[in-house]
Formats: sequence, structure tokens, C-alpha cells
Amino acid sequence: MISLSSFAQNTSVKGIVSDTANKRKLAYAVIALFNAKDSLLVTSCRSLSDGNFLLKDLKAGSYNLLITYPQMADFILDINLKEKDTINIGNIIMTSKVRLLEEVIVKSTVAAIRMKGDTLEYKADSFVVRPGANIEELLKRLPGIQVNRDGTIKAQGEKVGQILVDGDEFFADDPTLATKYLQAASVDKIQVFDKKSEQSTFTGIDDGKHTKTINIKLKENSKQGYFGKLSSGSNGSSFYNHEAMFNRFRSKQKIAVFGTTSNIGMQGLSGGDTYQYMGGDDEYIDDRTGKLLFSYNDYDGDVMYGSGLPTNTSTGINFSDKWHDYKRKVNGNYRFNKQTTNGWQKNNFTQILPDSSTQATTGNSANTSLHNGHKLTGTYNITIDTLSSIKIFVKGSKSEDESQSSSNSETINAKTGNFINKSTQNTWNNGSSNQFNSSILWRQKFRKNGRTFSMNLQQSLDKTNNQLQTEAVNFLYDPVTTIPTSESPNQLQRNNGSTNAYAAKIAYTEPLSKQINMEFSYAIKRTNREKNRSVFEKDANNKYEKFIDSLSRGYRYKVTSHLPSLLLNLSKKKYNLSLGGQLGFTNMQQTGISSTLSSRNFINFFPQANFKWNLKQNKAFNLGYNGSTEQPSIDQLQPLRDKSNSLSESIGNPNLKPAFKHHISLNYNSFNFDKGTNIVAFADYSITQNSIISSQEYDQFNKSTNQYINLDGISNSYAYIAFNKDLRKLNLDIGMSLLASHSGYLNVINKATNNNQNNSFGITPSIRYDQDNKFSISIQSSINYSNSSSSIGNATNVNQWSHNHTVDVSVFLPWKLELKTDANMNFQPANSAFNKSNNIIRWNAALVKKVTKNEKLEIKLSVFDILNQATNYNRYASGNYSSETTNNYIPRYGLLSLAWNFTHTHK
Amino acid sequence: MNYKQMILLLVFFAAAISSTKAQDFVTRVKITFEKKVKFNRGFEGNDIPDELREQQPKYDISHYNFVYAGGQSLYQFEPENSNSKNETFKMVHDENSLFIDYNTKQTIAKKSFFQEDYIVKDSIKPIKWKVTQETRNIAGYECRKAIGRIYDTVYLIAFYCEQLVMKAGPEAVQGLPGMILGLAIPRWNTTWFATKVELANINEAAIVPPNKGKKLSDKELVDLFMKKYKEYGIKDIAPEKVQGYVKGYTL
Repeated sequence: MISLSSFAQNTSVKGIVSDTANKRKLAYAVIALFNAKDSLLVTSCRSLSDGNFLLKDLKAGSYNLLITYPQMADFILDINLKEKDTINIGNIIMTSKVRLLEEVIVKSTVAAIRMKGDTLEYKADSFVVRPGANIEELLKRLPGIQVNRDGTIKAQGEKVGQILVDGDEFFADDPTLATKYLQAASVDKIQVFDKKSEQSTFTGIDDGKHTKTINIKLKENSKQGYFGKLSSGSNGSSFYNHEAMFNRFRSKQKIAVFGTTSNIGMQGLSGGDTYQYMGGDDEYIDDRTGKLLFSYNDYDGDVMYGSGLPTNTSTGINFSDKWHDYKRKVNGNYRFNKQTTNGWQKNNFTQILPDSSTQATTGNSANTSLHNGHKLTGTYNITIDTLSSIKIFVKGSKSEDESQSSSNSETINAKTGNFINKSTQNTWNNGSSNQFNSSILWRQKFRKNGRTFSMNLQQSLDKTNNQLQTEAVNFLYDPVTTIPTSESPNQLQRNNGSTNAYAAKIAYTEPLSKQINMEFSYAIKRTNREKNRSVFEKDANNKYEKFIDSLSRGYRYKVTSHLPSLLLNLSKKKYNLSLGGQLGFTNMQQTGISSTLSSRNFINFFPQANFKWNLKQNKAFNLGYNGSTEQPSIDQLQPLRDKSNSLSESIGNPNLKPAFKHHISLNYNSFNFDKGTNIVAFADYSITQNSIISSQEYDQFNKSTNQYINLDGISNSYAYIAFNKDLRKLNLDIGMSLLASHSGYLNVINKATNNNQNNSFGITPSIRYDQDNKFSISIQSSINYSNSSSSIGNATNVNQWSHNHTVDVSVFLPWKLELKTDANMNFQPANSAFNKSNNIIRWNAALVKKVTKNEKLEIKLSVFDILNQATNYNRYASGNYSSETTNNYIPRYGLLSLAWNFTHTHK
Repeated sequence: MNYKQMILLLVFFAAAISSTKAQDFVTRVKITFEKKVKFNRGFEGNDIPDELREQQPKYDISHYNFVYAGGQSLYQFEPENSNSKNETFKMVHDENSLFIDYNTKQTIAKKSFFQEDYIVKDSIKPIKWKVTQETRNIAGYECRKAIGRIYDTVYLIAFYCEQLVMKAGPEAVQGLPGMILGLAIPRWNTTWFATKVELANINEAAIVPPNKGKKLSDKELVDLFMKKYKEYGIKDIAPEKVQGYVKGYTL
């Protein structure tokens, strides 16, 4: 043994340097090792003629390895060396700088693009953008990054899930604020990388989950001043759009404030809370019983919040700071949003019933709504030492909603022309909701690499209140005599509910061998939910004070879940395999008025498996499976009887079994920086056993009774492939995507199973020509075909074709003028469901003039819907059902706006 | 041909030229360095009349030859093309030569002080380097900028070339993964830049340590300096400062 250890190699790093473009090993490449802590050069060597290199006699520690070769992009890798350990980095592939920069006019000799480990780094000053350009325009210039029409960003073919500013979240719920409002001139570098989940970063175990992330690194001097944008637009009378943003950065401290008000539903700072870029709080302890309790929404009634034309006012502030040598980090975010909406809708529905009769419903409605919301979030990170940290998170929100709607509808039997029912309804709704969540997370690492422990405590409180008043008159016609009977179910509902939850979780990871890691966690969650409904009808004084006992309910639930989970992870250089699952032992106790279900116990199972095969850098294949138990919700088992809509009623089914859903997904992604090609493909299949579906029973008055039952065999599948090539020499970018999907849907109508099948295919070619800062045009067409069938009655297959074309043109003219125009052409020919074609061309144009020397001030004249063709008409058809709706819209209008970008840098 | 095409063509030319060069890694080389010392500020703190200061040339320019082969180098003063005439205020003469054996890390220097030659044996001084992303072309070679620190307080800015494989440089400044073709020491207002890089006709036999002169140790050199300072009438000078000067000027 002693002789063995004396033969053990000393601490060293080795590898091979090669160049894939020319398929050769590189000799004389410089391999330099730097201390991670102070970036000081420790040692360096050259690769031998076969590309091999060896750095020996090193000390244990954290290092950065830099590999350079003339005319090649730098390669940087972070490595951790242990005593008496030889790290073999394997084959390092250098990318030619010339290729990367072929089409990029480089202003300075600083390496414009470099690979830093797995991070692709762009030096912003090397890419020419016009003065006053925002970061979005800079991103468009960077090879390998695409910015779509709707503002979504793709990097290396994958959708960007998070945007950071100097490593910090910047308005977490709407990070495009950063790309839209920060100036390209203030950017030092743009870094693109795959961000691992926080847990994965902490444990070092690659769980395969990653988010494509862009980090915007600002220049040092722009962190010492303030900058922002003021913009104001109006058509002279009723329409306006005003925006203001102010940022003050002082080295590590950042403060940003914005405010907007608009009634034209402009993109950007719309105040929308749900957003595509969700950073995701991957530490949330979920016992997956959230949907079990109430599957219907909290307002029950037909509240049309959000539809129609919104007037939006929102403000927000973002604050982040670091101190104590980056060991304390705080990030806070506040947003206020006020939205008023006015809308009207006309609609037609046609439905074929199992007895082959066809019912046609026509109706119209109008609504107004008001929403006020406040949201505050804060995160505080404390790094105690290199091994342990604490993270505290709080989030509070408060919202108030008010809405009013009136609608009328009539349903006729299409064959006889006789009325089935007629209804007029007015509703008034007002409600409020308050939420508070907090969590504290302690993470501890140990000397042994890969061994970690973490503990997380969470709390959440959620309170909702609302009052819904319904006044309706319904006429139900006897199918034989056609004599109507009328009813007037006027009532007032008062609902209040609260959810109070506490959860704790411990997680432990242990390396079983160099490549196999185990992750074990155990969580307990306790949820108390309460829901009360009091229903009143008018008393003798015409006031809603007469309590209706038969419709009023109160429930209280106590849900306790124990959630053990085990995950094994095999991590090799070429592939990563993980297997495991989570069990959920849940006990649900119910107390309340006239309850028949007092205690329920059930076990949920969530198996998962994932295989990721790293073919090359930027080329990976992923195969994943996950299964999940889906328990029926309480109201499916035993609903609160709902009389607010007397044309439909729900009854429970206590014999419902849990459903189990299998989901398989396949993913392939390849991105070649040299060739500018990108292929993304994915396929998805899911099938549900014992799925919980709705069964509807219509009586002769077209009044429906809903119940949930179990049925097997709902499956959905989806396949998508997209190819993209960046022909940099020709300033062209071409792409093509194909999509095929199948969805199945079962429901039961009057005891007959209705099997709906939907197939659709689409092809989308696109082309973009972009001559930097002179002229750009992009055209995208999509042609879609769909086929849907239904198994009931005499429903015929519906075959539909549609095609859509969008054209965007932007021209830079002399005198600092820029002309932008775009058109969206949508064609829906007539088909078996609709006998008219629906063709609409929406054309917009804008002329932008930069004034002042530094182009910080711009005047913009825009005209929307030049041809005045907008109708806001939508139609939809499936096997036995078709619908047409028309909503209100803004007809052609013009807008004159003025925008000013300001910057000030402190010395 | 429009502007854009021209740029493209240039980029391709540059790429073609540099990629042929990229194949040729150099292990033997002869380099001419131009050393420039900016004068006026160098006299700050010394009691010199303003008129005299005005008479001084702005720069003191001298040339050095550097030859490297087989792990040894010789760095030698080149008397031609050097304007080092005015020696009134110079303690240290330029007619130095420095031999380095990179395997043993030994340096043997000939230093001329006060009209006398001395031979000083020493070892290579470690320099703490940080490498940056910036690049610059010197004498036709792409060089990368690095920032170094020596004797804890003296900062150096060096440009090294990866294509010239030797870990060497002017004076005894070395340690980067390539030959240093440009060097600046702001504290001493001094720069060294390569003006000529020759790959052929390298006289390996000429790389020998200097041997003519009085052999002195580091300490003896400082003592000598102290003595001479006093002779020149400069008083109140701290020995540490002298030590800094000695080390500084000899590196």
C-alpha cells in the first residue's frame, strides 16, 4: 500500500486541445492556470504536437484554466483541484475567431466573442448599434441570438427563460423591462449560459433542469450614475400611451423605478403579472393537492375580468444591493397595477347532441371591470462562510376586483326553429384577495464534495372574499307545446375562503461514487382551508337578506401530506441519467355542515426518469418520463350546489377513482456556431388512465346537469421540428418549422360517449434579411390544416385550412429617419363548419425621427390598422361544436409620440 | 467595391495572413527593443533647477538586443541608435547586459555604475501576473495584455505574444506564456517595445554570460550605492529606497 501511494500521481491537470473545424490537434496552444480567488497566473504550459498537455505539481484549490491559440476564441474553464488528484479535462475544442467574426465589424481588438467554460460571452462594444438603441436591438445583432416579433428571445436555439442584470434579477416578473429600457451603450458584456436550478448549483448534482439565461453585464461607469427613458404618445383625443423609467446604479446598488399608463394595450410595460419568463421558485414545497379542494375559480360567477379594452396604469420599483464583500445580498420588488376594462361580445354557438338535434345559441354581453393589485417581494441572502448560506424570501400581495356584466342569449332547435330557452342576466361582482408567503432556507455543504444538507421552512396565507349578485330572467320552452315557463333566480352570494399552510423540508445529498449521487428529501406540509358560502334572496323589503339554507355551505379542510422522495443520478461526461420519484401520503380531514366525507387518505405517486445525452457542446438529446397521480377534487366528489346559473347544475360523484397520467417527452437540440445552423426538435406523448371527465345531461329545456366520471384512454401527442440557418455572408437568416399534433378529448353527453379527435399540421417558413442599420425585412408565413371529428350524432368531420403571413420592414433613411411597417394577413377560407371566408389584413406603419445631436430624443408617428380591417372576430370548430365570437376593438388610429433617453454618469 | 465588401476582404486577408502565421510557432528569436524613459517626471523630488530641467530631452531612448535559443537568453545594450548622451543625472548607465538561464532560473548581469562594471548573480524574480482580454499588435505580432506586480508595489503592463513560445521578456521580466514584446512600468516612466523580430540568423554561440567586471552580491551593491549617493551629495536617502532603486533598475 505504501509503495502504491508513493507512486500516486501528484496534483495535476491534463487534456487535449483540438480544432474541430480542421479536424486536427493543436500544438503550442497556451494552457494557463489562474487562481480563482485573485486571478493571478499560477503556471502555464504549451500543448505538445499531439495536442496533449499536462500541468503538474499543483496545489489543491479553485482555478480558472485559460486556453488560447492564435486566431481562436479563448476557452475558459473553472476547475477545482483536490490533493493528489489528476483532472482529465479531455478533448477541448477551440472555435475559430475568424468564423465567429466573419460578418461582424469589430471596432476594437478586444476578443468580441469568447467561450468561458459553458458561457458564451459577447463584448457589447464590438457590435455596432445605432445611438440610443436598447438592449433588445443589441441582442438582435449578436450571432446566435434571435429576438422574435413578440419580444421573446432565443439563444442557441433555445428560449431564454431568465434575464439578469449584473447577475441580479431585474423586475423578476417582467425581465423584458431590462431589454426594452436599458441602453445598449451601457452594456459591457452579454453572457449566455445554461443556468442550473438553485438546488443543482448547490449540490453539484446535475438534475438536467436548466434555464437558458442571459446576463447583462453593465459597464463600470454606467453603474455610477443614472439613466432612463421618458416617452409620451397620444392621438390628440382619446388614446394615449405614456411611459417613464428611471434607473440609478451605484456600483453594487441598483434602484429602478417605472410607471406607465396606456389605453391602447401597448406591448411592454402592460403590467401583466403572468409572464413567459418565469424565473421559477424551484424551492416551493408542493404536495400537489392544490387543485384537489376547489377546481372552480374563486368567483364562481361568469366574471369577465380582463376581456375588452383595458386602460392600464402600473408602477414598480426594483432595488438590489450587496455588501460585506458580496456576502449579503438583498433584492426587493414592488409593483402596483390598476386596470379598467370595457368590453362587449357577440357570440354564436352550435352544438350537435347525441340525438342528432342541433342547438344554436346566440348571445351578446357587455362588461366593465376594475382591478387594483399590489405586489411586494423581497429576498435576502446571507453567505455565512464558503460552506453555508441562508436565504430568506417574503412575498405579499393584495388585490381588489370589481366587475359588472349583462348578457342575454337565446337557444333554438336548428331543425324546427323553435325556442329552447331565452335568458337575460345581470351580475355584479366585487372581491378582494390577500396573500402572504415567506420561506427561510438554510444550506450547508460539507468537506466531502457532493455531500450537502438543506432545510427549508415555508409559510403561506391566502384570503379571498367576494360578493356576487345575480339577477336573471330565464324562459324555458316546452318542446312539444312551445309554451314557456319563466323563472327568476335572483340571488346574492357571499363567499370567503382562506388557506393557511406550513411546510418543512429537509434534503440530503450524498455521492455514492464519483459518478453516482443520491438525493433524498422528506417534506411535511399542513394546509388548513376554509370556504364559506352564504346565499341570500330578496326578502319582503326587496333586499337580499333572506338566507337560503339549502344553497349555503361551509367547509373546513385539514390536509396533511408526507412527501418522501429519492433520486439517483448517474453523471458521465457524455450522458446523465436520473431515476427516482416522490410519494405523497395525504390525509384530508373535513369538517363542515352536512358533510358525508369526513376523512380521506390517499397515496400519490410521481415517478420520474430522465436521460440526457450530450453529443457535443450545444448538441444534446433528452428523453424524459414522468408519471403523476391526479386525485379528483372535492367539488367533483361533492360540489357546493350552485344555483347562480340555473341553466346548469353540478352534482358530485363519490365513487371517483384517481387518474394516473403518463408523460413521455423527447428533445433534441443542436446549435452550430460556426455554420450558424440550429435544429430544435421535440415530441411529446401523454396518456391518462382513469381520466376524470365531465358527463353532461341535457333536459328538454337545454338545462344541463354535470357530473364527473372515470374513463380510460385520453391521449395527446405533439411533434415539432424547426431548422434555422444564419447565412451571415448574405445577411440572411432562413428558417422552417413543422408541427403536428393530435389531441383526444372525451366527454359524455346524455349518456353517449363523445370521442373528439383533433389533428393539426402546420408548416412555417421564414426569411429575414438584415443589413445592419440600413434595411431589414422579415417574412414569416404559416400554413395550417386541422381536422376534427366527433363520434356522436351526425357530426361530420371538420376540415379547416388557414394561412397567415406577417411582414416586418424597417428602413433607415437619411436625416435620421427610420420607417417601420408591418402587416399581418390572416386568411381563413370557408369550410364545412363556416360557409364564409374570413380574410383580414392588419397593416401598421411608423415613422421615427431622431432629433438632437446624440439621437437621444425621438419623435414617432404611428398609424395602426391603416386599412381599417380589424374585426376582432374569432371562430373555432371541433367535431360537434362550433363557435364564433366578436369582441370590441380599436379601429384605425394614429399616435404621435415623443421619447427621450437620458443618461448621466457620476465621476 | 463598396465599403462593406472592402472590410470583408480585409478581414479575410488578415485572417489568411494570420492563419498562415499561426502555424509557425517560434522557439528561437532575436528581438530589438526600444527603451524609452520619459524624463521630466523622473526627476520629481530631486532638487534640480528648472532651467536645467527644460534643457533635458523629453525622452531618453536606447536600444537593446535580445537573443533567445535553447532555454537561454542574452539581453544587451545596443550602442548605435541610442541617444543616451546626457549622463549628468544618471546613476545607472545603459550599457548593461543580462544573461538568463531559464532552466536553472539564474540571472547573471553586467551593470555599469559610476564608470565601472559589476557582475551581479541573482535568480529570476517572481512576478504576479493577471492576464486580460485586450490585444495589441506589436512588430507584426498579436500580443495579449497582462498586468503584473513585482516587489509588491511596482506595477507592470506587459504585452506577450503566444506565437513566440519562450516565457521571456526584456530586462528580467518574464513568466507569461509567451515572449513579452511590449512592457511599461508607469512608476518609472519607462517603456520597452519590440521594433524588430528576427527569426533567422540567430547566433546561438553568442549567448554567454558576461564575465568582465567586479563580482558583487545584492547587498554589496546597495552598500555601494549608499556610499556613492553620499559622495554625490544626496543626503537623507533611506536605504530601503536605494534598495528599491537598485532592484528596480536591475530588475
